[in-house]
Amino acid sequence: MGLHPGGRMSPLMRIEGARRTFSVSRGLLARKRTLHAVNGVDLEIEKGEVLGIVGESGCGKSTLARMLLGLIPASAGRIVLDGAEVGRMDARALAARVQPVFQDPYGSLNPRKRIASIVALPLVVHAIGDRAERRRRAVEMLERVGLPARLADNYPGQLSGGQRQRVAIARALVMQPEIVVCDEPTSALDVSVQSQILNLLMDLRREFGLTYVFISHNLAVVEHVATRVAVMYLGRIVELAPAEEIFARPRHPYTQALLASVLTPEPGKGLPDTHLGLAFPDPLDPPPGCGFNPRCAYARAVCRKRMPALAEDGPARVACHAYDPIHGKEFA
Amino acid sequence: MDAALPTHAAMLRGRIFGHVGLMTGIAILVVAFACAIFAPLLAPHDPYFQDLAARLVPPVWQPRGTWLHPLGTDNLGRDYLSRTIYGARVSLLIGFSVMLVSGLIGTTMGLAAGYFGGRTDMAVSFIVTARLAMPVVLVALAVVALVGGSLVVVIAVLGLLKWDRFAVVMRAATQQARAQDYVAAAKATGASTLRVLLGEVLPNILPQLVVVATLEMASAILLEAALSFLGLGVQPPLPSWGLMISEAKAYMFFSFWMIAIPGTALGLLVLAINLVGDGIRDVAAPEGRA
Amino acid sequence: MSAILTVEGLEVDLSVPAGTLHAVRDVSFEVARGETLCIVGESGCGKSMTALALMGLLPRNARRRARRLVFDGIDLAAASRTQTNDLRGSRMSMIFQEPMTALNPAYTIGNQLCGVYRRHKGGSAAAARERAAFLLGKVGIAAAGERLGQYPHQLSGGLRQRVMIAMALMCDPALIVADEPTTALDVTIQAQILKLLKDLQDEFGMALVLITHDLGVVARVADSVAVMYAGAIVERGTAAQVFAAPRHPYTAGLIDCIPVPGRTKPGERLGAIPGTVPALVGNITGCAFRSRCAHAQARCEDAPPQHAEGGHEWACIRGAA
Repeated sequence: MGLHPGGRMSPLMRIEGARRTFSVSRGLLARKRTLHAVNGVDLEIEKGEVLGIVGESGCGKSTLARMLLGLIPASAGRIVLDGAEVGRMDARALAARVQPVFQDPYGSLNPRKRIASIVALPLVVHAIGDRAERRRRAVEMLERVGLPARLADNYPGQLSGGQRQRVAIARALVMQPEIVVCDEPTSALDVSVQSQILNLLMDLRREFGLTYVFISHNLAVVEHVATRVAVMYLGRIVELAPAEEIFARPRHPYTQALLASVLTPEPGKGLPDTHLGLAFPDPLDPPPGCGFNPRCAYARAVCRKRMPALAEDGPARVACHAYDPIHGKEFA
Repeated sequence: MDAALPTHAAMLRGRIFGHVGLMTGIAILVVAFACAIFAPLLAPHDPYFQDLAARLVPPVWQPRGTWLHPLGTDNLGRDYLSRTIYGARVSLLIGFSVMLVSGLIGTTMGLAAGYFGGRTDMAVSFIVTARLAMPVVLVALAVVALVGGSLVVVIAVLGLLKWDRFAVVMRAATQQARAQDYVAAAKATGASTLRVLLGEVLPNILPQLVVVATLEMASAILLEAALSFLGLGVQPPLPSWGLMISEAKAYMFFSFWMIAIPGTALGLLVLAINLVGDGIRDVAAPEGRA
Repeated sequence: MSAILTVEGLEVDLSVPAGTLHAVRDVSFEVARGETLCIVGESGCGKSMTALALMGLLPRNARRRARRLVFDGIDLAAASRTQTNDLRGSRMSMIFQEPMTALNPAYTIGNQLCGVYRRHKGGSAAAARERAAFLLGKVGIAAAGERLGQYPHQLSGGLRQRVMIAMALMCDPALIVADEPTTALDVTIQAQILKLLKDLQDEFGMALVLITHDLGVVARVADSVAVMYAGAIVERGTAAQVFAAPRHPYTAGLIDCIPVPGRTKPGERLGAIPGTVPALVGNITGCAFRSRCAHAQARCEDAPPQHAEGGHEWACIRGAA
């Protein structure tokens, strides 16, 4: 089971003030603008936990995932794995310990390669074993994720979405990494396939003692798999808490709205009112103060002026002025 | 999914043999290659031998035609069939060489620009724009004026000038492939840039590369003919189809077949190459999302 | 309740390289005025083809057949192309999944909204503009006058879908067919858009056929539910009937697959439906679900019997409990 954020063990991965900006041009003549995709994230990933990261499109969760994988370097701040900085590590040393599973099982497998050679690619890159040995390990891993060995010589185009996602999982696990970064691993799948993949991910976690960073917009799925949850909004973490705490007592108004938006299959309950209004977060043009203030039903003057910091509140950490010892009184 | 899947090779074979255009193109190309390779065996006469007694003999289907010279003879009494067969050598040699040289230059530039983006992309785009501002025929004219015309000069000039389409198409295709998650997944295995480029990106842009390569090969063959026609390409007495048309232009009104024969050979070869390019593109598409 | 739409024995066949694909097989349902019918199923079950068949928007390689296809007293199966074109966009309109591609990027919002109106209702440009501004206000877009001059790319995904809804309402339709209208949107926006659709339905009284794969959406929005599998409706009933007591093993399996906060225990195994959907090319005999069904018997090779119990219908060898 995952350790509490308060646990004293040193974390497996530590993210310190990580930022990532992109320069974006809107049209030919417009001047370039800076997009703060990840805007100062501090986070620790403990061994054995499933850290869920939730938020809407454009909140920076996928950029953060790619930073953890070393695919996008940080513009500022550091990501540290066991004392070594990810940005300075040898790509292969990082790859041996952190592996991805992406959302789109159609895009994440090279359509021109056979299944066995897709799964064996990490072994080739790391020069492990000879051709026969690599194939044996690839087929073994395919069987472990529930695919028959006879598919090894097929191409991705001949497989269903669920089978492809199993291939992607096999590729991620063939090097026996410690951390698997799952970026919306079931969002592109049918409901009946989603449950199979979720069950598989949970089984593999127990079997290999894996740590997951599980990114999703589907809160019901995150509640099912995560031991700890970070809620992101406009590049920042606005709430971080153990899973049972965040689903039982959501603190940040955005977390509350997200939870209210989950449509459980309970007929008769009708549709929730999220009180969010029409504003939609634009990462190119974030509002002053708290990024959520234009959509927040509780926003006060201070929310439009000052950015709240992530502060402890019981077992949770929340970035909202309402939980601030000084400003909190205004919200009473 | 439990039913046995047809093997990949079997499906590919089915698609290749079922493609009429591709098969037609291949058939014509096989004939052209056979002509080029086995020219000394196939040609009934020495293409350079001048029989001044038998000048401007018409082809066999015309009155005065004879089976000794099935396609007739030219103004110097050289056997037209033999010269047409040998002409395939020049056209194919130039087509292939130019395609290889320009393909190597253009593909490298396109891959680099598409994959690395940023400054590399800007630099490549600038070079492509500068190159497009140069008219191929005028540059060839200047070069031939300076160093004289020959087979090697034609190959060098066209090869060093005609890479622009390779660069543009490969750049766009690479940009598309680079954004795919399988590239990210390969990078996340710690694979080197070269391995990602050659192992993941290149196989996926190969169909586009083949199409451009065939188009460029066909266009190089036509350009060679045009340059030779203008006297800027291969030099007489080498049998080149362009040169043959050029030499025949004075007899155009009396002996139209002198232009029609090398012209038809040229047209068929270019058509065949384009058919093969289109066919490969159709056949090589990965199995769809079914 | 009088039915606005009656569908009986709808079939859609697609000709594909491998043969004839039976995308929709003998589908029958009725939608009453002001009612919401949700058609739910997984990808490839034929739900989108059903929607397109209703609208007469099937792809070129598709053939539609139906014993009865009656909308608002008009026989759609016998209607001419002009008649269908007149109905589409006015008496019956459609909302698509991808608001970015469903709106034409080259025209302003105002042009597109007014264009629909004037094509069907005629009238002055001013009247059309007034109606467009009124409806943009209704779908919650403030400063409607200014928005009418904007292009689709200037709006966020949620706003674009609101514009699509306004466009569907321009000619006061009796029926809206919405194909996955919120699938491309964020969860918070999804809840807002669905609520908006329901509120507008209450106000204007149109019937709604909503196509979705999301059981949560179905439960919260539907009056009645049709569950599709492999081109056929396997179960039909009110939302309460289908969710509280699913009769078809596929419906039950589907409901078991989704994690539900408060019902499934975190970390526990979820239900699963083994296997994959059968190929729909060629002849299909018996129950299409039998290869994945835990209750399958030899009898399932024959056409499954239809059961009905208080408006709850299903096609399975298993009868009422």
